[in-house]
Amino acid sequence: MSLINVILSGAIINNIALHRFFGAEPLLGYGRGRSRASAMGMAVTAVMTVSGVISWPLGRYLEKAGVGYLSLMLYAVIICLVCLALWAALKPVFKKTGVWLPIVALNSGVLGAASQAAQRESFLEGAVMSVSAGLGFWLAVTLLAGLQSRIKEQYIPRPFRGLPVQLLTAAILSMAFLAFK
Amino acid sequence: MNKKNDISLVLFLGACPILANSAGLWQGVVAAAAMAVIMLVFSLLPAKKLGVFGCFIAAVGLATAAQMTLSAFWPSAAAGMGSYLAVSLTGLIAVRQAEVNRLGHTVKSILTLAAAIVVTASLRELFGAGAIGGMEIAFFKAHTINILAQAPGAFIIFAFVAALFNGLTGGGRIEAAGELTGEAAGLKEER
Repeated sequence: MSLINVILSGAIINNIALHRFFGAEPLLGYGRGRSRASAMGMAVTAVMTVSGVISWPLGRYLEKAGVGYLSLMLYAVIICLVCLALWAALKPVFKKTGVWLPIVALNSGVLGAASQAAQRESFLEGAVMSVSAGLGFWLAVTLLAGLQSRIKEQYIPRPFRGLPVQLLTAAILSMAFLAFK
Repeated sequence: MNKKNDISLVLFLGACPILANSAGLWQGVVAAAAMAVIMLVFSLLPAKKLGVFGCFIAAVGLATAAQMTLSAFWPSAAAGMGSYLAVSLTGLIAVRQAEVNRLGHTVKSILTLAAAIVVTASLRELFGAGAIGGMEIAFFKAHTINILAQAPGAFIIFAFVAALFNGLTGGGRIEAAGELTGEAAGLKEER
C-alpha cells in the first residue's frame, strides 16, 4: 500500500473516531468551542504520532519474543510516558488553551492508533499511519465543533439535547466521510 | 448516581465501547459482560493511590485479560472482534469508575451500560441487517436500512436510545455535559 493510501485511509476513509469509534468520548465530550477543539486535536495528534512511532519497534519485539498479548499494556505505558513528557515540555501552552493533556490523551483513540500503527508492515507505514490517524481525529473534532456551534443556535427538542444531538451530528459527519470509501 | 450524572447516557463516558460493539446482539452481550467484569474489578482497586496513569494502565490490563479469557473460552467471538474489544473497553469509563469506587454506583453503572450496549446492538442488527442474534426476521430483512449497518448507524441508533432515555427521565437538562467529563473522572483537582 502506498503511503498516500495510508494517509488517506487513516485520516479520512477509516477515520479512527468516526468509523472505528475509538476516542468517541473526547470527540463528543470536548468538541465544544472551535479553538479548544482544535487545540485538543493538535495535542491528541502529537501523542498519537509519538506513541505510534515508539510502539512499532517495541510491539514487533514483543511479537518476536512470543508475548504479543502484552502489547496493549506496553502501548499504554508508552502513551502515559509520552503524555507526561509532552505535559512537562508544553505545560504553559496546554494551560493557555484549556487542554488538560492526560484526560484528552488517555483514551481508546490513542491506544487504538498505537495498536494499528504497530500492525503495519514497515516502520515508515506505521509512522505515517499514526500521523494520519491523529490528523483524522483532529479533522473530525474540529468539524464537529464547527457543526455544534451552529446547532447551538437552533431549537432542539428537549430529549435530543446533550448527547443525542451530538451523536446525530457525528452521524452526519460519519456519513460525509463514508462518501470517500 | 442519579439521572443527571448517568455515565453513558449523559456524560459521554462509555460511548466508545457502546458504539464499537454495536454490530450485533451477541457482540453487544459479550462486550457488556466483559465491561461488567472490568468495572466490578476496577471498583475494588485503590484509584487514588494509582493516579490517572495507573488507572489507565490497570484498565488496559483488565481489558487485555478479558480479551484473553474470551479467546480461551470463545475463540470464534474473540477472532471476530480482534483487539477491538480490549481497545474499546479501555478509556475514561474506567477512570470514572475508579473515582466513584462504590459498589452501589458500580452496579447501577453496569446495568445502564449493559442495557445501552445490548439495546443499541440489537436495534442496529434488526434494522441494519434484518436479524436478531443472527436469526433473520423476514419483514425486517425485506426492509433493511443499509446505512444502519455501517459506521454512521451506530451513532444514529445510540442517539435515539439516549433520546429515549432523556424522554423517559425528563433529561436533556445538562446541555454542557461534555464540560463535566473532566470533573466526572475525578481529575479536575489534579490539574
